[in-house]
Amino acid sequence: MTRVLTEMLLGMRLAFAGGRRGRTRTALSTGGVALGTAVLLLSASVPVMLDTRQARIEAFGPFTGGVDVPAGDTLLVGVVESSWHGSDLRGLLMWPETERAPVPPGIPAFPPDGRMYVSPALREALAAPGSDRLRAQMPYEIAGTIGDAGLAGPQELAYYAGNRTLPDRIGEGAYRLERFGAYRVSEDDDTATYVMLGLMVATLLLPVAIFIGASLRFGGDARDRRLAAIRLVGGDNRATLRIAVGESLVPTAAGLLAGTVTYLLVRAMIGRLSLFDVSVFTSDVRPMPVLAALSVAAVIILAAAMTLLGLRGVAIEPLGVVRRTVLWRGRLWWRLILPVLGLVLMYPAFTGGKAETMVTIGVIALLTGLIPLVPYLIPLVVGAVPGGPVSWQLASRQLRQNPVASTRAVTGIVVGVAGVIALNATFATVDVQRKVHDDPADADYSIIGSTDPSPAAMKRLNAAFERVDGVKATTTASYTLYDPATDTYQGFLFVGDCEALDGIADIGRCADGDAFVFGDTGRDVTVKDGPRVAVPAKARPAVLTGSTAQNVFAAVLFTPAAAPEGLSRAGLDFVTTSIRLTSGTPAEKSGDIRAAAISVDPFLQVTNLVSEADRYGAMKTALNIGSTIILLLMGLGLLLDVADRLHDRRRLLGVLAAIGATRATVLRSVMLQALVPVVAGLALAVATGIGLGVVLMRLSEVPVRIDPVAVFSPVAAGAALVLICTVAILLPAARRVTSTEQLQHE
Amino acid sequence: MNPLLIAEGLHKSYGPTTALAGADLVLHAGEILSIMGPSGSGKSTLLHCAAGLTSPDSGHITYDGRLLTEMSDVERSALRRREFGFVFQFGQLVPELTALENVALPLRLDGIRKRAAERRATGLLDRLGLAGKARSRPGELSGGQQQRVAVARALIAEPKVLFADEPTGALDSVSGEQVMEMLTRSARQSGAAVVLVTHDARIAAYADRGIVVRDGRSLDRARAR
Repeated sequence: MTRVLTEMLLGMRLAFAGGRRGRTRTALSTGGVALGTAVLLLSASVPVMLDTRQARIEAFGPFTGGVDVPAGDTLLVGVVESSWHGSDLRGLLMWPETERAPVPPGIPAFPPDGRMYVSPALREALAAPGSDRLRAQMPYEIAGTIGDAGLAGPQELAYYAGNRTLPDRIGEGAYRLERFGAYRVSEDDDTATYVMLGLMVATLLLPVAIFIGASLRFGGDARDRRLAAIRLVGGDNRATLRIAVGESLVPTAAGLLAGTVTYLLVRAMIGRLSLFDVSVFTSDVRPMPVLAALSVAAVIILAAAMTLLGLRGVAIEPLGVVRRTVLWRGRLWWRLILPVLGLVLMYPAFTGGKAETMVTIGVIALLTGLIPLVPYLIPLVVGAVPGGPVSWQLASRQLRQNPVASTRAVTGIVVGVAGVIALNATFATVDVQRKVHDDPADADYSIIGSTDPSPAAMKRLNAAFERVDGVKATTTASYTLYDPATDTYQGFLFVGDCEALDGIADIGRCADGDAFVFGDTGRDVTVKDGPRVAVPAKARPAVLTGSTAQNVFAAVLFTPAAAPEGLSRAGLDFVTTSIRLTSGTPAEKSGDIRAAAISVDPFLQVTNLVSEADRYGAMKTALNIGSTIILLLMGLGLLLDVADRLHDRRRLLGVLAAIGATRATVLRSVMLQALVPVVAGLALAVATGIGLGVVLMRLSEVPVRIDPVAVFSPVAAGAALVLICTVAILLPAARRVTSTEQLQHE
Repeated sequence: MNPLLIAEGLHKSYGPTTALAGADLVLHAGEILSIMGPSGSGKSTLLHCAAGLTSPDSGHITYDGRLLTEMSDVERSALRRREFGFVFQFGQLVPELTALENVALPLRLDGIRKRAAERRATGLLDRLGLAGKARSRPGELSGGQQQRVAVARALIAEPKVLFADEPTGALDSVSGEQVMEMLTRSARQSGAAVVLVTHDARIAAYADRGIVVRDGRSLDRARAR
């Protein structure tokens, strides 16, 4: 046991003593392991984070499960949904029916009428400059702060306000609640985001794993020589293995420690961050013990496996190191197992299925499957050009002889670039979709909730919204038409002024008193739960436009003066105010529009028909930061790899120079050896990235569209990185590696 | 007196090249034996086989009454740690370790505590005139100093046999003489036998007895003349 320990300790000592190359190797491996550990621990914390968040939402959620609760020790509540700068703003109006009514979690007592408790983030937003429009959305005095128990996350915008008008609004936005946390709610099924997150973790983690492997192999020849010297003075085979493993344990242990510290730092800061409009409390971020243990085990196993893999085919004998060169057999079948498995698992994405776990595993399998495929490509590529100058001949022989070694540092770049292409292409398409309406004829906002269809009320609504600068508002009342003979849906009856009707149909000229008809309505129509209405003989034909036209086969449109008697509230479907912006953007106007809506009625529902905020904005930022770090890491790995190969082959290069090869020939040959795997690998990355992008676009339910910038920017970054790194290492070393002096070195 | 090490009828080929073709070697305790011969004659291969570093294709090697050719890797490794010492032309020091750590390495691998191992190594380095170089790495030492560190390491476990393959091959004549002086004097003081491979007659002169290897066969040096 003492000997085993001594050998491991000797290995650990050697990790610090390997000179500049050894220290570089230890530092880089430590960095790679640290990054991998931090990402793994954060990933392992996601399930607990989501569960805790869900439990919080359920605990303070004013849900009744759709059941009408009878009056008693009940609380009258009304939910106000709004948003501020693209983040959801949750308001809960309340009024207790007795003193024993349930108090919401997170506040000490019911807020009095006209006063509210606010979340810390909302308090901060209200105190910030330019918050007037936000303030206008909640005409209440601040009475206190909502505690953590009443919030889903520290960045949540929420308020609990006392409102004595609620008893008059029962059934019109207000309802009774017996207790909080009575019903479970289900989270939105967002398969696309789930799969994208999985792909992002894989895109960041796989290159890190490859990098760890590459950095542990860096300086492998020096390590082997060291071990041979130890064999000479009596170290047996098992001792040398233990020394090698001990050597790799140092960066692994240091990396685990640094990774855990990084994780704790990110965790400490996480309360200040908001991702996908979701923020979490630091206390809710803790890894699942099993996943954390698996993460640590995975890192240790990876490091040990990479060390042992590096020693595979190497016989370390007292007299030196013997490398058993295995002839390259480019067998394809086993390299296709992972990609095929990936495609099979991704099949639900093409059939509209929502098997997110399966699709995510498929995406990761396909991405991982690139690792063995890249070396297979190299002999094919170089085989396609059999002739060529001496530099190409030298490069192609070397590439064909050992494609695995030639592609070791490139594989990480290929995997990373493929993942980034897929995500970038999807983000670009979602972004294009986000900026356009479903139909150009649609308004920017649609507001429903009013129950008064009278022309005067509709005018008041328009006026309330048009007080906001750059807003044009029109309001229509809609009624469902049905065929009493067959009891089937027939279409709609709309009432609105000429401007409002013009917003939903092509009506031509119009004056108050006109009526219009779309489709085959017959001589009269029947309003569901309302009167039978004669279609005026003078009604002119019109064509419905925009989203209104979808699934509507018949409609009658009346201006207020032509509207039949007996309509009013009977059979009323919706009073809809459509808002079009004549200046500014939804993001700029949203606050004012929502404030105007709340001033009319806090229960009005404001729907934005184009997004105010970029849903994947945070994900894009994370991907950009992550992929930059990964590419830099890959660049370092590549530098190491090229330096290592030059170091290993310095004698051979010296021989070439000695027999008359020019420096340019030798350098071109080394350059080609670095570039060919990259070109082949990036071609594979583009194909895979586009394929994965198509899957993600289908899952995101956006039209499949490949943005060339999204595809070729990561490719250009990857190619530039390889070129810069190769040139950076080659130019300073050019004179040295092509010197015949190398022949004198043993 | 019974011989300590006997190699009989050793054959060894590397592919089509025959290195040893029935070579013999007999070594008595405490004696210094030189092996001479032209380049490619098989003298280093004979030393490697005799030390158990390479297995012969056929033939027997007996060390202290035990058949070396039938020992496992673990047993031969233990032999290298405890009873054999090696000094080669170059490449035998661990460049990442200090001179002191290199010398103490065989004892550390044998499970001896660091402090005890380094105390013995310090004493040995002092005796070989390297007191001020204990904390230097091999790269910071001259060729002669490196070879003296190698001699110290070869002697640290008080071996019974010291195998030296061209120990002065990479040194100038003055340094070579110094190293040989130290190597032979230390070996005689500790009672270790030495197998010395060299192509230099001046170095071979340090030996008590010599053999010559030609075309893979060994001859007594007196007979070879």
